[in-house]
Amino acid sequence: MSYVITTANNPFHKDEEHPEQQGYDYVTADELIKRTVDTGMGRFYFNGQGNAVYESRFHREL
Amino acid sequence: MIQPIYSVCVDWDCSDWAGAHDFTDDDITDDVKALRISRGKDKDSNTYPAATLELTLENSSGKYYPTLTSSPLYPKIRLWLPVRVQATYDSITYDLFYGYISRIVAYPINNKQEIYFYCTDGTDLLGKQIVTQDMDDKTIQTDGESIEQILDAGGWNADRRAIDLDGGDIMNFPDTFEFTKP
Repeated sequence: MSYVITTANNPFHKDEEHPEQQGYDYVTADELIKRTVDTGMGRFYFNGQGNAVYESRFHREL
Repeated sequence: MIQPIYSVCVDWDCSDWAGAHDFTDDDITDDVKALRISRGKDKDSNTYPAATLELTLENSSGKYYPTLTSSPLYPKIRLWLPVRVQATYDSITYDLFYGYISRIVAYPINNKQEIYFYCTDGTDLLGKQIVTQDMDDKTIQTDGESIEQILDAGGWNADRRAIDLDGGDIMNFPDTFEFTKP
């Protein structure tokens, strides 16, 4: 089963200077989350209660 | 010295990995011979592998053989059943692991009589969900909002997440975020 993200939700845009960012029309959800985390520099994990947790680094000391 | 008390439960009656799970009467702690939990980022490959739980269970009675019809658990034992591990120390209960059975290995030889459950957490489930991206949509949104929508697309239920939505906006790479002065 595949899902389509149709709304404004794509943090990975085509960038001519960074071809490694292109060509990911189909991707697994965990890979997409990994790249979102890398881009946003936050932390994503599943906790011991089975919940998906994301902590943005922007709430920490800057 | 106070010793932690471990609790290992499997929801044998689960029919929906995304639904609510009931661990009542599903305690298998007495049969656990060994458990090992592993989690964290793999720095060598720069990946975020799923957290894993390795369970070795006493199985001399044959209770945990998935195909043994005389087992009281037959035919409930299958892959992707939810597993929960907790530890109680000094009257406080800690959630150590929550995931799903990913692999079952049986050791039927006489001097072993064990069953081995290899369990992974939600990351493994999301790794099996294919999503498509709209490469032409350049609308800015926060990193937390991105995570939310990816989880929606991957089928992860809304009541089992705690997502920080107020991070900085993600923009065109490599301008990866906007800095907003707190």
